[in-house]
Amino acid sequence: MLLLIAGAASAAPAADPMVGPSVGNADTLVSEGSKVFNQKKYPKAAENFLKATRANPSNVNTYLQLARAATLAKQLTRACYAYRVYLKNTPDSPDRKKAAAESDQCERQLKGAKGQAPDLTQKYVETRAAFFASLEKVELLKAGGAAESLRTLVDDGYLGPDLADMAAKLGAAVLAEADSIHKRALAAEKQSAETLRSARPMYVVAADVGASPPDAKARMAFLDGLAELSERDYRKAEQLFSEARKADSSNKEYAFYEGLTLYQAGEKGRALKLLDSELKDDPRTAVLRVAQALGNSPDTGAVELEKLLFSTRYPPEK
Amino acid sequence: MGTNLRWGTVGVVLASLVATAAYGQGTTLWLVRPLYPGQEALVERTEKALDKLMPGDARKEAVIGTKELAAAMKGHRQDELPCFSAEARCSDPIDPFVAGLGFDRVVLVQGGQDEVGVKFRVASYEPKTGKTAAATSTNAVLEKALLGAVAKVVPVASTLEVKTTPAGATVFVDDVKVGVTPLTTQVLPGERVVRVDLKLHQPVEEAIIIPIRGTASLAKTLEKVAARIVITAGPSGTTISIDGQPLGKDKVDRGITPGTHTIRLTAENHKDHEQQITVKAEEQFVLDKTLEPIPGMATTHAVTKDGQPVFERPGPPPPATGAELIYEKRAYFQASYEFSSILGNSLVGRRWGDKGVGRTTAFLPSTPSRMLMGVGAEYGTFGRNFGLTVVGISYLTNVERMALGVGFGKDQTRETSMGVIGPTEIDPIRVHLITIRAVQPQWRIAFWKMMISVQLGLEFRTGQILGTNDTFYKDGFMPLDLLASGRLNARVFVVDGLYIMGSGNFTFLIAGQEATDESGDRFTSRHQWGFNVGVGYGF
Repeated sequence: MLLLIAGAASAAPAADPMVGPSVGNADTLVSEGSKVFNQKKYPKAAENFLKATRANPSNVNTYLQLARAATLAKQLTRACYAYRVYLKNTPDSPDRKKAAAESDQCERQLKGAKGQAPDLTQKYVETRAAFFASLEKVELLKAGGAAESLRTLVDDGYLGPDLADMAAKLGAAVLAEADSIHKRALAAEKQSAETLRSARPMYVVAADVGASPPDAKARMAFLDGLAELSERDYRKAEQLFSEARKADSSNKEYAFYEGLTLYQAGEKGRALKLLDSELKDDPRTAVLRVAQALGNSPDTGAVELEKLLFSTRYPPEK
Repeated sequence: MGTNLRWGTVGVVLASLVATAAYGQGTTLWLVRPLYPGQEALVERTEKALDKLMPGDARKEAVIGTKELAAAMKGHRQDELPCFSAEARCSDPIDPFVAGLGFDRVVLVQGGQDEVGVKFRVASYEPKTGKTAAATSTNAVLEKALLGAVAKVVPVASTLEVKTTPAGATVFVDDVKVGVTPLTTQVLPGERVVRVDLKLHQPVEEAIIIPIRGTASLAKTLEKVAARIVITAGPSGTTISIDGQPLGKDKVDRGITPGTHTIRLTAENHKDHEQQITVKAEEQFVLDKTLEPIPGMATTHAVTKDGQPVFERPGPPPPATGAELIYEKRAYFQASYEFSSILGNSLVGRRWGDKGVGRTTAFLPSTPSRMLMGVGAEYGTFGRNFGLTVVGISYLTNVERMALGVGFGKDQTRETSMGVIGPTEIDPIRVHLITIRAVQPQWRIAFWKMMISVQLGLEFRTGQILGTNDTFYKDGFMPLDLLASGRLNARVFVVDGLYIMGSGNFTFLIAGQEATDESGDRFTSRHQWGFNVGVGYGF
């Protein structure tokens, strides 16, 4: 529900992870669920088992554990739904017969029970269809798009091993989009501030579905920094590039853009100091060094230029 | 004059190069670095050469060296660096940066001097396109090497037109055949040697300057000759003479009167070649001959055909022969076991002091041989063939029984003591002879591992002759002789300087003491011969 996409995405509160390892460790959640189940804390157990199905939707046994905990917690709608999901996905399990009996009993109890949550099966079907339609149209983050549909399914309590596949597809799609923006930015392709900023929520969604790259934090900061630089907010841009550089020291372009921001801000000395430290042998650093030297002293500058030309424009002898 | 011509030629060409490089565009920056460490002085020489080679407008459009660069950069401002602007970003801003400094071309020169001559490696870099081209040139003359490399990285073809009367002559540019007259061809700029050659005509050779993107023309009327000879001779430097007149070296191509002529080719360390030829009218005689080297003589090629010195990297020297190793030994010390024999019947020694009138005379019949035996040592020095025995000493003593008669000195009478007349014989005796030789000249020759030497000089012989059972002449007798000696030594080197030696010697008495006996016979010491065997060390 917190999928606020457009605009100030960087300022948006973080949404709960939806699917995958970002939700938590499935085994741990199952273990904790079993523990509180034995302590007869059934609502808490049901909550843990539900999270476990989100963390690893492929483990069907968790659905049975969820169904039993929810039954005892008097969450009959969820329990019966979990039994149905389990029975549908485990045609050959030795527990099936017993589970089927429990499921029948649950259904009978549900019919006679009052104050239970409504059955959302039909809504699940519709939302799932909307998810795939959006995905096909690459409508990922817009209102009613794939990310929002998946979030709705999760929040409404949708269960099923296919949740993993849906998350993977959404993750791949948003990552492809975000990485494309990042790649173009690194290639110095001109992009609008809006486009640059649109990458951050994509990386957030990717993280929520367990598809986040390890350097996502650096990428988000870099792209936001570029957006700030294009709007000449040098202070913010410098902070963001610095954050990106520290988050991913292997990508030296982040350091260059930090230096570039300082240069643009008129702090050429600081820019050279930073680039000398981070990108000593880069031709851009070399040019800045020569330019600074020429500005300070023509004699020193001439010597620096001579060094630069012989080191970079004098073909090696074959 | 040659130097002036060279500077002039090179200067015109380089000026053209620079002018072309900078034409309508901007300044050319020339930067020089040493090719080898420690040759920083060559940078200044090269910069001076560039300065001298670029007169006039070309020089105005050139910035040579970092000092001129610094002067040119004074006051220069580049407000926004490429790659650092808000809009245009790039990964390598060097090209636009250098172009922004106002340089259309940068020529990077690295020069070094080694045993081959002066080597230049020149790279031309165009900042606007990023193109680079490099070339290398080596020449004994700095300016030629520099121009040779520079001309290659600004390759602008020029046109050469050659016309001859009559037409049909073959045209060579720098000894490369390029066509037949009338000819218009593309050539590289610079100083080129153009030769036109037509059968039965006097060939013409001329050095002309080909300007950059320009045209050079050569028009010649070839002189017809009755007959022609073309002689090419090797090795380089061979003198070609015809009918006793030296006409040139290495190659002669000229007209000649029909008839019989004598060709003679001569070169140092090579066998002469002489041949008689008969040239008929309208005939061309061609001879290409390389002289045979004289066996055992080293051949050298000190100069090339154009008179430039050739520097050849020396190969590893051949291993030294045994004889050469011996000749390297310039001093020696040896010890020997010596045998000697007195060639004669007398050995005179004298006594000293108040009563010193006794003198030994002749060997008595009880002396079976005059063989002596002992040890010796010698130290000497050598040049290659001549040397000097610095000092040598021998000690000899008798091997068998010896006995000597005793007489007295000239105009003296027999020695007496306490009223006792000294005996006329001492039998047996012990002879101790010490021979000292010094500063004896030597001559030596070495072959294989052997050295033969001959030494001649003076020796001084002294010692003591004691009667073994004699109580009268207690202190014995002292020989004092000056001898001329000759020695023949043979040394065989075994390992490094260690040698074994054998030597024969003969000593000839020059001056010595005399003794007389009662019968009035007079005696002197006799000559001596001997031989030694021993070991020594040459170093």
